[in-house]
Amino acid sequence: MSSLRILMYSHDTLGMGHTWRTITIASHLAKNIANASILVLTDLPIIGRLRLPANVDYVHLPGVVLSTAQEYQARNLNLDLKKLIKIRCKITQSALKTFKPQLIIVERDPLVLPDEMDRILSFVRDKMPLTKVVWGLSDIIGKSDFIVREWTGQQVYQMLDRFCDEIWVYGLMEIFDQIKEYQIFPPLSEKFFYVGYLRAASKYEKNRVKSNHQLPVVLVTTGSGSDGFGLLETYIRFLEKSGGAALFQSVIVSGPMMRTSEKHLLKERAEKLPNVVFHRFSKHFLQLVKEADLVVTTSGYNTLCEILSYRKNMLFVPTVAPPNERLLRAQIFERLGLGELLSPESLNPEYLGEKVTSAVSNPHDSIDRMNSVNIGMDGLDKIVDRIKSLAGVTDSAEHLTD
Amino acid sequence: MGKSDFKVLIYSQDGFGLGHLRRNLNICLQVKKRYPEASILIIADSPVAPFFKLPARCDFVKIPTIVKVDMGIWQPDRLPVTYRELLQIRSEIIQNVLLSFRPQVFLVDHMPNGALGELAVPLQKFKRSSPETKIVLGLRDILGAPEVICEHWLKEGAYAATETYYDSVYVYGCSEFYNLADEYKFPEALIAKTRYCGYVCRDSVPREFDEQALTKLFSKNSDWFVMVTGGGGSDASYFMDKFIDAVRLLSPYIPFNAIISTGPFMHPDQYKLLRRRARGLPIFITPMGGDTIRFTRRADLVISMAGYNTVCEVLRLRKNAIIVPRAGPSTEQTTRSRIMSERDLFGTIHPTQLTAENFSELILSRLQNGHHMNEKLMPDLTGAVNVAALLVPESNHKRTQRPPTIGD
Repeated sequence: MSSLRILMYSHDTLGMGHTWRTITIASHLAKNIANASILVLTDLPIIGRLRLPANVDYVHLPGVVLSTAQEYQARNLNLDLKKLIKIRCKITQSALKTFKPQLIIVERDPLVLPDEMDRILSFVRDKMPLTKVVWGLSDIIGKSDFIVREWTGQQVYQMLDRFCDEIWVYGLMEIFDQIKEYQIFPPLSEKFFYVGYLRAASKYEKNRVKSNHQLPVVLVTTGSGSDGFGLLETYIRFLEKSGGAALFQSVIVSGPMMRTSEKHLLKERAEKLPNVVFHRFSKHFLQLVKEADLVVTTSGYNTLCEILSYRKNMLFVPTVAPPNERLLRAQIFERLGLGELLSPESLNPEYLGEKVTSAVSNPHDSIDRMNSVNIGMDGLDKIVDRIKSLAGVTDSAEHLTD
Repeated sequence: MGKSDFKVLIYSQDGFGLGHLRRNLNICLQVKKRYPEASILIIADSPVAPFFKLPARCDFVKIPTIVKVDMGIWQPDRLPVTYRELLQIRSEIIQNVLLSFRPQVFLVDHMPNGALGELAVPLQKFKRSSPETKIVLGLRDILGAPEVICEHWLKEGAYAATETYYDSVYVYGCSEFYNLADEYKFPEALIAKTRYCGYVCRDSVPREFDEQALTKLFSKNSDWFVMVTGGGGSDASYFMDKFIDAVRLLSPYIPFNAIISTGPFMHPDQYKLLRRRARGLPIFITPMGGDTIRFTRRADLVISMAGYNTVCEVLRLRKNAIIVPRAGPSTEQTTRSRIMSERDLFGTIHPTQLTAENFSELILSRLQNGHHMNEKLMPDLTGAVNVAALLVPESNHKRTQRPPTIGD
């Protein structure tokens, strides 16, 4: 059989969640689909620091960011947005034309620069009619009223329906029913597949946390770290106030996208404290999760999958901003009994400290709770199944029309 | 047209290595000094790109990686496609970046037609659509043995491409050290376009060194500190291994502590092997990238290969150094070390003659005797500034001389 070519297109505006998930999926596909050849297109500036498996390579596009005035602009280049989008589209089209993928998996928020996707996917539909297009969505992408309003206003429903063969939700209908919540109707709703959460597995065995004093371990993580300063600063302030009296060890991971100045500030303070380890970015992150007794998280999708993979007790401290996807996710998982949501408005060192202390001092409660809930984590295998059924329809790479 | 309209595009093919990218970034930094508003886009293919911190208003396009197997022979690094297909993917992307970005300057690193000839079609199309763009070929001081390079350039049509498409050829070296145009038999038309710019170095002074960072690494303090560095690291394990042998030969009286910085591309197995072999010796082995320069600055003796950037750092920081060049297949490094060691800019041992005995002897003698470079024999190290001055025309330069605004 000829090789199965998959192009994965990912965009991250602030953090790195989309590209992180893209790499997770690409790694699994490369190992589990014979002859898979995967080209990732991404604008994540630190992509070169992530490990990619064999048969996966990437193209990096010049970046776009959201300015403080909430407008999209070039991340680095001194160019108008329009011109930058043109360059990005040209690179993407070049890759599509020459790599000739049978399958495209889009991994980005449909509300971000919809015109760009429109141009790219129109090109696919015109020139590569046999190529299958899939759009991947997190378990929850925002509060229902917000999403319905914005998707209607920006014609996302029409775009998805027009260009996509399937929509994959990396979550479960029982947990959050996007079709119902986001008012998705046939024929678009028929394209929706809930594949489940994506299990993460650590490749490393060796313990990373030095536990010579048998204290429980609290891992505090803010995902990529692009908006994590508030939580980490509050946490460190709590430790400072407790004067080293905390009855646990802390592992603080700032994330690679945190601003260097913010990271320095936190690191300096963290290093003065007893029983605290500070990392910016650890390739052993999963191992850190595995060794933790409690994880304090901003409840981003990827971190949640990582924590669920090891069934750890959680404290949710979501960042609150529209579309409020993290807050909603935290509310839902709290209701499932998998952790406790801390009210983000009243976050202060005392409150955070009290919650953390109480969560680590009653470990049995949480273990019982975690064991009573079963969440479908086999999303990666389900994705392989979906691809096999899609690829069965398209079996040739030679279908580019000009 | 809004915003700034001065744009530079750089083509830097590295595969497994970081040398070209580092050198191009050093040029970028100088372009930014002359013209802070300029947009610089770098086309790179290193799997760890951009690896170094990019200057402001600088972004990169990473294309699928190819690796050089031999002179002119390449293969895809990761994607299971034929090299022809990969060439097509790369070439198409490059062409579209050129045509949509429309730079005023296109700087191509060392291969006039690009790897696999991938620039041939893009250059042709771009020259037609944007004849006013300045297209520049940048060549490092020494490319390889003249007979090899001349034959290869002829075969690949590199002379013809340079004549047809390029406005200038900038050599990142000095003609007194190596007359590249002569050695590689440039025809008259090319000689007329060629400028020797001097060696391209970083100009930032590494941050002040925290001695504690060093003492933390070793169980004992020592008189001297030796820094062993292998650039990207893909083939540095040979001389590092020999270094460990040399140090072992000196035990138990080893008058120095040493750091071996392996670089990001050393194979994990080789890395582990080095660590195992160095057990019990005052040697700290790390894949460190960013901090290498600070340790290099502090070192009493630097031991490295003869890659362009490493040699530039050694010269710029006036370090006492032993250079063990890569044996081959290219003679680039052996030639560079020969020319420079003849001027006493550093000590060298040819890799085929390297033994634990002569290595340890040279290490001790260079530590004990110190190092006295003759400044008059130093090459011009201001290449990056000179290249930037040639790339950024005066009119663009002047535009940045605005009066400062309140609050700046």
